[in-house]
Amino acid sequence: MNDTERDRRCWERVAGGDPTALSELYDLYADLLYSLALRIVGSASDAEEVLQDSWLQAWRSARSYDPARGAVGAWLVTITRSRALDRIRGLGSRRRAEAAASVEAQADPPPPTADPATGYARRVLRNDVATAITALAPQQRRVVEMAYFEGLSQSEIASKLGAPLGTVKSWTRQALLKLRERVPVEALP
Amino acid sequence: MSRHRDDHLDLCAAHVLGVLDEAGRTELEAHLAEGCPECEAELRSLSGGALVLAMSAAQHRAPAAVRARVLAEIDSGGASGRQLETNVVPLPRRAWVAGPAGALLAAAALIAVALAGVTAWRRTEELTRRLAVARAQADSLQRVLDEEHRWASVLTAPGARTVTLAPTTAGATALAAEVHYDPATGRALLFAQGFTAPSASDYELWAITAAGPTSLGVVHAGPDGRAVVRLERIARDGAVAAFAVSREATGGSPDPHKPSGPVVMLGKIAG
Repeated sequence: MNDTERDRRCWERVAGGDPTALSELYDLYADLLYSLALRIVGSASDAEEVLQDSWLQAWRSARSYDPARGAVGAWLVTITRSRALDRIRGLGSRRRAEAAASVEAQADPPPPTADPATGYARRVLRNDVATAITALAPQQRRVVEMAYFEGLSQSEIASKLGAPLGTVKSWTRQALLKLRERVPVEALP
Repeated sequence: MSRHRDDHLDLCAAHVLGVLDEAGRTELEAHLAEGCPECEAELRSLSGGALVLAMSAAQHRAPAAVRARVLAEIDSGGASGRQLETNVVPLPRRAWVAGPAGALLAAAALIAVALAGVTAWRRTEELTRRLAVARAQADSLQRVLDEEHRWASVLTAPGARTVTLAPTTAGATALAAEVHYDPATGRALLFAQGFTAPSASDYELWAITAAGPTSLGVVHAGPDGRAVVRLERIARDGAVAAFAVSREATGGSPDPHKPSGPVVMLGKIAG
């Protein structure tokens, strides 16, 4: 049974009202979701609230999850990112960027897992992700990070970078395709 | 059917990043509704790229307090409002003609009916929830059993190898370890004794192939120094030539392809 299938079965239990199943998924994904929220909101207290709200939203809407539209992990990532972006709307972009840069500089990696095989797989995946990101051309990386972590539209990005809208669209797509090509799909949540 | 154009692919990219404007969203949804295998494949592929972005955020540990708060909230029913399938049948409206006493009686009757209804609904809800939990527990036990069978097969598989690791000159004789490795599935079991690591250090297990060593992770022993570790996704097809154990600073070697501390145990696969 692969991770996607394991998560899907676990989520069926969540949809059936089993809190234990939710706690199992929480242990698998909380660090990833918290790191994502922190990167977006730039403050530990806000990221905690985003994390809590995201899991409660997932619990409440468990039955609306459709496996045909993606893996459980990807769905949880979507919920968390959406809530984190909701929280920062209205804050000045400069303040957000400064706060996000500050938390990025203070990484606090989760401890090694008790299972060496899992720990090893995670380290390899992290390595693949870091390599894929650093291999992007600087402008490509900038546009996808502004869109994903700051929630900026492509028009806003074009304006900020002083680049033509068509170019921003092209950079965005090329960057996403390159990231996807360099990280094995079975390793993703 | 609206013909596929290259700029639909740009719309797909903005869509997976959640930054598509209203006009773009309307256009893409209309296009997808008519069926476009190219855009559907593009969306799947680009979604993987967006997940890579999510994983690129610097790693932080989620505060333990959040876990407790989420589970407490769920347990207390504070996270109610779950989307439940409704089984309430709407009743037709009736015309009421009554005086004040009649209105009071009618109100009392309505309250009584409502309370009875709420009680019955809550009981049904509770029974449904208990049934779901019991089913989930049964499923969970079956999965545990399946998993145990799967791992037991590593010991009995026809092509499985048993590798006894011996302490090297840099190692301590108190260490004992044996790896059962099934090359066909890439799974292995490590049985270890005496693996209580010296202060500020950890023992790390390695698989050695023609390409060099690859970390299989840090071995966390119990208080008695024993550990049983299940390993997956090790190289298949007999590519592993040996297993080794190194003594590393806490957390293991920073390089997953090179031990940074001394190799204290080694076991070659015969043949």
